[in-house]
Amino acid sequence: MEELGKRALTGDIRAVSRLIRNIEDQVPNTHEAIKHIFPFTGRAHVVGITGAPGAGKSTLTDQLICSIRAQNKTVGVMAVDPSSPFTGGALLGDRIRMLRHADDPGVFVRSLATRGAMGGLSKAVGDGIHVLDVMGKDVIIVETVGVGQQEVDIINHAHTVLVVLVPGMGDEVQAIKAGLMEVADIFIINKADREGARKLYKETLSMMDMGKFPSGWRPPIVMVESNLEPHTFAKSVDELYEKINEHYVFLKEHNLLQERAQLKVQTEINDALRSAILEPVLSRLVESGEFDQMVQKLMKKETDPYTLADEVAAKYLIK
Amino acid sequence: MSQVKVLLAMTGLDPNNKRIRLLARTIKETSGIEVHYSGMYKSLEDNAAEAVRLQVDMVGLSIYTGLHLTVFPDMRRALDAAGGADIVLFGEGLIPAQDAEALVGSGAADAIFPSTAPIKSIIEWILHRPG
Repeated sequence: MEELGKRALTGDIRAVSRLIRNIEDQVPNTHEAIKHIFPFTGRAHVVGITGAPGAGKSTLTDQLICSIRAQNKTVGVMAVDPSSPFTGGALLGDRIRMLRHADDPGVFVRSLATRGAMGGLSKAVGDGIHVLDVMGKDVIIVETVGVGQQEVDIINHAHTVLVVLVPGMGDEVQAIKAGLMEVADIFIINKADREGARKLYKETLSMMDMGKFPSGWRPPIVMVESNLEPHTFAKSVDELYEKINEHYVFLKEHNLLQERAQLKVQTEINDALRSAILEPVLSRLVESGEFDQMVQKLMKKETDPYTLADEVAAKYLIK
Repeated sequence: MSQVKVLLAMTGLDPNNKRIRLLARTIKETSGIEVHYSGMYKSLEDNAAEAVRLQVDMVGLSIYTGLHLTVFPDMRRALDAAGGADIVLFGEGLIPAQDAEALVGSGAADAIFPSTAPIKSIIEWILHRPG
């Protein structure tokens, strides 16, 4: 496994691919590879793209790849699609819109399924970012699943978060509900040639007037018109990329990059503790049948969940 | 927790994508398999590279152009060349039984289903995959 980590560091595509698949499958010992690469992480600029389903996240990502490549920077992309909550199956097709970069060695695009994770990301995204980072990608784009409400985990992983809005979807209210306003570093009004775009612009603007920006960064609003006019579309996305860079420079100049990085580290240690402490205890309870017994006791109202949890904690926690 | 992962692919100028889309959706909704669909008009090399990038267990190639006798051996070679020698290749489409037999017999494909095969039987085969 450590070997896989070493090969990933050299940018070996197959090693990187295998490593990400192992992370997704939670193959035992994958942690060994992550341990090996972790010291080399933290170099790339991580950009998150979030917004409602059908807002145009994949299409924007595809064009953004062009803008980034035009400046001779390399790109890694992780595009997350939802798994079925009923069967665990998933259908992923984001890549259909991005295959034109298939021949470019400076671009690595990978689709991931959420596999039951809440928050709009896959559990594998956190470590996946590390892998793309150490393989030498300058910019990493993480495209979340189409968010509804409360699916804003991206803030824990990205330096710059783009929120994509489209006219005619009642977006402004939905976006506030989803907590999207708080996570946005840049707003994109996509399909801006559609009716209602100016209204959406005005509403987003007036909503921001009510907001507070303690960091001093007031999220700009970038209008992007339909990709049916490839030239203007490309130009808008170039402008978007300029804003993304401005934000990155702002974070660096105001020592805020560390703050973002700290969010990621906190999330990671949280997850790592959970998998090192809680999951082994849970699986032991399930294997021994204790878990079922506890469920039965609760069904008969013999006890309550908190008493049971205290009992388990007393048994496994050394104080 | 290892989940079976499949890339469903089309190639060349084959415009018949109804069946592959139905297949993709049915697999997603009735089984725990993770399906990736790479879309129409893709080259074999692009599909092979994508299969390796995703580290899929299998590639399912849907073909309705009548070119299956050359496309399957080419797909197999493309997968091997891209470093995906361990990836299982199966097929689906307008393919006569004797051609299907010949392709499986020569090792160009691991299984080939006629366009009339119940999707359930394809899912069963994927889940009890060889190797």
